[in-house]
Amino acid sequence: MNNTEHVTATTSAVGVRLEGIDLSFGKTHVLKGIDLQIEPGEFFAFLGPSGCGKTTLLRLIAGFESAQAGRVIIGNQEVSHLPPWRRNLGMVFQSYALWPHMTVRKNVAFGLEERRIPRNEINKRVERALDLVGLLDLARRRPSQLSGGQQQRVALARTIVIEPQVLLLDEPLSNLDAKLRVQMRRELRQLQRKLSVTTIFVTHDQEEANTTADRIAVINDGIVQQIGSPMELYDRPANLFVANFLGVANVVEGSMTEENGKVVFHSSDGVVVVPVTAGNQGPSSIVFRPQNLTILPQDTKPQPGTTQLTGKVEHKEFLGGVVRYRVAVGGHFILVDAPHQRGETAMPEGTPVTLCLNDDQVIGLTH
Amino acid sequence: MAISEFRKHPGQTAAMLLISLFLLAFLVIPVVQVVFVAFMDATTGQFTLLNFKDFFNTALFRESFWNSIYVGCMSVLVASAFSMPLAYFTSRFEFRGAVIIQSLGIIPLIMPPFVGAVAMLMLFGRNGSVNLLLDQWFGFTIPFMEGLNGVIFVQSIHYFPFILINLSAALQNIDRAMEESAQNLGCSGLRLFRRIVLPLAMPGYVAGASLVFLKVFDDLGTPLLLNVNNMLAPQAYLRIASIGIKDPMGYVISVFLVVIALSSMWLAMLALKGKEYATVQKGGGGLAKRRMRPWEKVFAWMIVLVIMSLVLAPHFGLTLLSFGTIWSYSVLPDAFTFDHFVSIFAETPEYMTNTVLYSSLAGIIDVVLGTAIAYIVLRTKLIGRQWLDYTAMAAVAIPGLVIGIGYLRTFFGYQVPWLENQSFATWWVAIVIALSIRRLPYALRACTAALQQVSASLEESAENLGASKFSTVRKIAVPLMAGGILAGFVTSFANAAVELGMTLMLVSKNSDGPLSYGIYVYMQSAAGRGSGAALGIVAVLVVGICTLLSHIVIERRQRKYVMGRTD
Repeated sequence: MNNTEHVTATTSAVGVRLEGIDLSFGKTHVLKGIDLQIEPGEFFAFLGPSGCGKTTLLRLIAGFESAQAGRVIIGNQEVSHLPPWRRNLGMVFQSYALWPHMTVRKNVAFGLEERRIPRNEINKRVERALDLVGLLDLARRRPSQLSGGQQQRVALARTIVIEPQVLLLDEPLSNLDAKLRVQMRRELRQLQRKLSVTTIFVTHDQEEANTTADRIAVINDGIVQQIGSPMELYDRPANLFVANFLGVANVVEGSMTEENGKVVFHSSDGVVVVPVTAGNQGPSSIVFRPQNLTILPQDTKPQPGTTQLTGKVEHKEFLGGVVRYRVAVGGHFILVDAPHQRGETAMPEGTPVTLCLNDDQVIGLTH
Repeated sequence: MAISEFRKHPGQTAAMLLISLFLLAFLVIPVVQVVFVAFMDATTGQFTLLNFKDFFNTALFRESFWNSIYVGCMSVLVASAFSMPLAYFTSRFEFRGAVIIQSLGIIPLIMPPFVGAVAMLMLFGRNGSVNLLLDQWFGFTIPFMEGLNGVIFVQSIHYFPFILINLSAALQNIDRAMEESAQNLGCSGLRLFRRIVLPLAMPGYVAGASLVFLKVFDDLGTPLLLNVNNMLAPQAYLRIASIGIKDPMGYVISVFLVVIALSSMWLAMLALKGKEYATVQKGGGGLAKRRMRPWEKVFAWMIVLVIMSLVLAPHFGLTLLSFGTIWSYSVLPDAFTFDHFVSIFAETPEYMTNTVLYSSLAGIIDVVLGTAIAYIVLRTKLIGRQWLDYTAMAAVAIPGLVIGIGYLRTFFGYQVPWLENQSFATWWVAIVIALSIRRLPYALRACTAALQQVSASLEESAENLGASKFSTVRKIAVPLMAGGILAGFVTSFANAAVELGMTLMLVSKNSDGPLSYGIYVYMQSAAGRGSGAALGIVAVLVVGICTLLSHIVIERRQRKYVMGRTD
């Protein structure tokens, strides 16, 4: 993917709409009323833990599963009843599924041959696709003679060469080592921009989703929990699942009450009392991130605009850029990240500390 | 360094040594004896090529040579035409007929082809039921059984399961993502089958097809009973049977049989080289199965029924023959009777008991050897391990007749110590060993295929957790191979029961003869056909029931190991 002179711009990217998708395997209810709108040209991720139904959803779009209810609409066409080979969607499989009896070139040419495209046109497009993923030199090899990363690129080339309406990626990076994964996800993102093809990416890795996707649908238990850009999801999680799944979150349970025209959160044991900018009264939780707190030795002057909590360092982890403290505050354990500078020492376990929580960073979630 | 491999693994080395000795004594030496005689001047004992010159100067031998090749190729073709749709239906669809195909597909293997031949002659011959009916209703006949046609027809009906079984197994090993990715790229239906599924299943197909070719090429009984003598195997047998064990021409033909069969095997191996695709990546796998649409179901059932009625034709004919009184120039026998069954149970029960004893022993020897060789070849680094595989597999290219002749020449002089006046060559144990040698290749291939599917990491993780080599084999490899091992046992058992060429040579008295021998003895005369057919029915039943049982076991095991797809 080092060559920028060949740009295969898909002339008109199409959107994908899922309406009321319901799918069961026998008694297992896998997808429960999924509604989604993916915009043309968007890089969209399905993010969720394993078993949440995200791969099933992707396979449903590709036509390998059929739902008991609901519609799949690609562009303006409903495809729910079309077989996979009529949908013109490009899917990259988790296992790559490269055919071992064909060379790289044959693998890539396959989809074009199926479309009865003239031979010289096929040759041209295969060259272009292989060039795009930087594998022109290896065209005569067999898949078994390639490394994991190269196989992944062949799988990608094989898929994009047909200029699919939508690109479907099923955990495409999960079989690569960590370093290659970072590199490949960048290349994937660049390639997607270059082709401006609507792309759906299935992953269980939030970092992968955050770094590649324009928007993410967080899926759990067959239900879309929240849809939004990576930052929106992180900053304004709709529920505790999303808050916990994306990044590290401190969660305190309690209830909201109104005092002097302001909403105030009280934890159930009364230890944590924080003003909250928005939220309804009643039982609720608050969520805040480890970097929303400052950790100070006890009796230091507190920062303005913060709520103070006192506790004791219970555990610490040095993560490189930050030191993560686990602080016991009453019955709660609060994670706090303190940026680390060269030469600084971490506070030892057992140190009594004051935590300053930035009030405006607290997210209130009504139950 | 290479030698130290042996020292490091004394257990494996001992196993390899024992197997090598067994193969040397009971396969290599007898066959080498036969080859020696072919190159030996009968009177002086000097080396000579004169025998081969004689062979090529005889028009009958040249004709026989080409006929054998023609029949082998045509049988593969017809057998493929039977197997492909059946394998496709069972591996691709949720098809009720699959069970029928799987079990009925084994049935022809159970029955000695030469028994089928006689029955087929009654049904499809010039004056057989089908042609009588055709002539009566439409005024024409079809020469199903004329000359070489008859051999091809009977052989392909009989041996197509080799292709079916191997092809089905190969199809089941294809990762679903392989075809899904093709569908995703716009490929479907028959094109998908031709471009992706078939090439991936090719190794299995080639293995099956080469087996069919070899079996047909080697088969003695079918052409003999169809009275087609201008083929190589019957010529070899007739020379030795009529002129005697000293006549070199039988040995020369044996050498041809062996060489051609060996080279076709070698070609198949070349074709397969580097193409053993282990495409299943996560636990289960196999092609996606779907329900058939109604018209597809009708179509599939029609094909299945046509093929199955052909497959069952020999059995149907055999049944009629066994219950019929007189059957000649008529669509059906004149009347029906139980007399043939009464007479075989009263007069010759030993044919049945011998068969069960010989086949089980041979089958057990085969799966033990097969598992051990597969393991040594695939999982150890012992030098020469590949040769173990080649040698054992070479047995497939040695016609039973040749092994029989070789045993007679090699072991006739050896007495069994505790039995008086009993030469080892004519002792029943020699028959068992010869059967196991002859059937080892089938069991070995099944075991090898099974072990290839077991990822080495499964065994390594057991060793990592403290299991010794032996208990890893016992607790991990063998249970995971169980399906393949059982399949090996079944083919070995079923095949041992139908072996004829060798048995004809080695059985010295009727009381030592297995079913196939008894059937042949009865079938030689028109009067004995009824009893021969009754014996044939018993053979079909005994082996059929065993096969069905082990099939159920395989199914159950496989269901146990199919894992759910991860999300």
